[in-house]
Amino acid sequence: MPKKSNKIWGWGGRNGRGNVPSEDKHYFDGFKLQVRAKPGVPQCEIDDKLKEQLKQAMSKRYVQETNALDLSKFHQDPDLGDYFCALFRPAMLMTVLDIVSEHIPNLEALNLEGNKLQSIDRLNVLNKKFSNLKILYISDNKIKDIHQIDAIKDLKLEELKLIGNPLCNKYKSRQNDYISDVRKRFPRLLRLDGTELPRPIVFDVVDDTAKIPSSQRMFVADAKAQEIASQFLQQYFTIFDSESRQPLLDAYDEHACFSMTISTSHNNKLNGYLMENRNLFRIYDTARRQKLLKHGRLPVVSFISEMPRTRHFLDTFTMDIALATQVMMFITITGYFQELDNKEQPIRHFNRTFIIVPEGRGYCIRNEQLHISQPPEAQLKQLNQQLNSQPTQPEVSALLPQTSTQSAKPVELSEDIKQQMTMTLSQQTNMNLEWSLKCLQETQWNYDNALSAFQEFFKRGQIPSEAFTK
Amino acid sequence: MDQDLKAKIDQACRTAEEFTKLYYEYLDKRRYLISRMYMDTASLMWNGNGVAGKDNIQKFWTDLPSSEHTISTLDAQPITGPEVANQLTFLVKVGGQVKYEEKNLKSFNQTFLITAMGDKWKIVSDCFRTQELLGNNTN
Repeated sequence: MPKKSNKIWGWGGRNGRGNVPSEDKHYFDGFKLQVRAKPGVPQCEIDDKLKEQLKQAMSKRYVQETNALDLSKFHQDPDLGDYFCALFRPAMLMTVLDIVSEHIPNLEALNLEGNKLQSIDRLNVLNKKFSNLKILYISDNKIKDIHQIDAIKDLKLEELKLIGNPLCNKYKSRQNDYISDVRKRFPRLLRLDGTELPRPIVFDVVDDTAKIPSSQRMFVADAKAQEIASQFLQQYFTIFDSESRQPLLDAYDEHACFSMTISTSHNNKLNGYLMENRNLFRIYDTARRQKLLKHGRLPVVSFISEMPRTRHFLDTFTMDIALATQVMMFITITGYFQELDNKEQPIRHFNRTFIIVPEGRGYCIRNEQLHISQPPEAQLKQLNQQLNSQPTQPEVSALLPQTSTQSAKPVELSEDIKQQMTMTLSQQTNMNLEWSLKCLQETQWNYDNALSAFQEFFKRGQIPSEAFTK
Repeated sequence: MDQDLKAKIDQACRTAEEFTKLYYEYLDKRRYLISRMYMDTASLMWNGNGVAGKDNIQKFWTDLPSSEHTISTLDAQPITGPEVANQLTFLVKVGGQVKYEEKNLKSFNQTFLITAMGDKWKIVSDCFRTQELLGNNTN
C-alpha cells in the first residue's frame, strides 16, 4: 500500500509549520495517511508589523490609574489574531518587555499570570527596566523551584503572586517556610498570594539607594562665569567641528599645555589614538611623559588639527565650572561626538577640562586635558534614539546657546601669531625665516599644509640651497 | 622646553601618582578622613551637584553609599603662568570605574586641581562625572 504523508494541521496556515505534540493515523480511501508532528510551538517572526500589533494589544491592557499592565494569558489575546505570541518564548518576552519599558518605564504593577513560563531567568531585566515596579504577579505558570525567583530578587517588591506554580506544591504543609523563603528574597514584601504578611521588623538604617544624588546637567558657581564659558566654548566647538581647526590658534595661550588619555577597556576600537595616550599608569619614561604633553600654541593646535574631523552633539553636553576667579576658570565638559573621517563614523564619549585665563579682551586656554572613551552599546542605542527623536531641528544646546550663524569663516591671524608660526616652521625645517614666511603665505597660513608642502618639495629636491642660508 | 618646565612636569606626574593612590584609598576605605585632602575653601562637583567648603564636602562624601574605585588612566600637567607664579598647582585627570554598594560598575572621570599649601598638597577643586547620557528633559 502506497504510503502518503501529509500535513493536515497548521496554525492558521500562517507559515506552514504545523506542530501538534501527538501522532495520529487516519485511513482515507484506502490510503494510509500519516500525520507526524514535532513537539514545539508555532514560530512567528517578530517584525515591525507584529510589534505594532503587540503595542495595540498591550495598550488595552494598561490601566493608567494604577500604572498597571495586565499581560495574563497573553497568547490568548483576541487582538493578536493569527499571531501566537507566547511569552514563554524568550524572544517574544524580551520584545514585549522592550516595548513596555520604552512606553511605560515607570510601571508599578505587572501581571504575567498564566503564561506557561517555565524559566524566569529573562525576567532579571525587570529590575533594570522598571525601577519602580512594586507589584508582580507570576502565578499559574510552570516555575518549579523557589531558587528560580532569585533572578528577580533585586526588585523592590511589595506584592508578589506565586500561587499555582509547581514550586508551591513543595511547601504544601509548610506555609511558614514558604513565606520565609520568599521573604528572604524580598525583605520588603507586604503581600504574598493575596494575603497580608506581618510587617517586617527591620533595623533602623538609612536607605542607601535613595542617597545617591541624581545627576545634573550643569553646575556653575556664578552666572557671569557661565556666560563667559558658554560663549567661549560655543565658538571653540564650532571651529573644532569645522573643516579647519587652524583658527583655534587664537583660543590658546602662548604657553598652553594639552594632553590626552584614552580608555582602552572596550576592545581596541580607539586604536587610532593610542599613540598619544598619555596614561601615566603605562608611560613611565620621563622623556616620553614630557613629549606627550603638547606645550605651546602651535604644537597644541597642530596636534588638534591632526585629530579626526568631528561632530559634537551639543545636546549631550554637561558643564561644570568650579573656581571662577579673576585669574582663571576651571571648566569641565563631557558629552558625545562622532568621528567623520572614517567610514563607520564611530561615536565616542569625552571628558574635557579647560583652564582658561583672561587675555586681552577675551579669554584663552592655558591648560587642557582630554579623555576619550568608547561608550557601551546601551548608551549608543539610547543616544541614537535621542538623536532620531528630533531630526528636523538644528542642534541647539541649552548649555552653549547658538549666538549667530557661525559659518566657518576664515579668521585673520594676528601678526604676532604669524611671526611665531614662521619661526616655528623655520626651526622645524631648517629653512631661513624669509623662505618659511613664503611657504606659509603660499599655503594661506595653514601650518600643517605648509609643513607638508615643504616635506614634499624637499623629498623631490626642489628647494634651492638659498632657502637654508641664514 | 626649558629645564624649569621639565622639572615641573616631572613633579606633576609624580605627585599625581602618589595623590591618586592616597585619595582613592581614603575614599573607599577611610572616607571619614577624606576632608583632610581638601583645602578649607575647596569645591566639589559631583555629577553636577556642587558642594563648597571642606566640612560640607566631608558630609557629602559621608552620605554617599560606600564605593569601590578602580583607576585605569591618569594624566597630570603643571599649571604655569604669572597667575600662579608662586603657587605650585597641578591639573590631574583620572579615568576608571566605580561601584556603589553592590550596584553596577560605571565609568567615571575625576579632575582635580591640587596646590601646595606649605608642605601639604591640597585639593582646590574636584570635579567628578560618571559617563552617562542624561535625558533631554534633565536640567
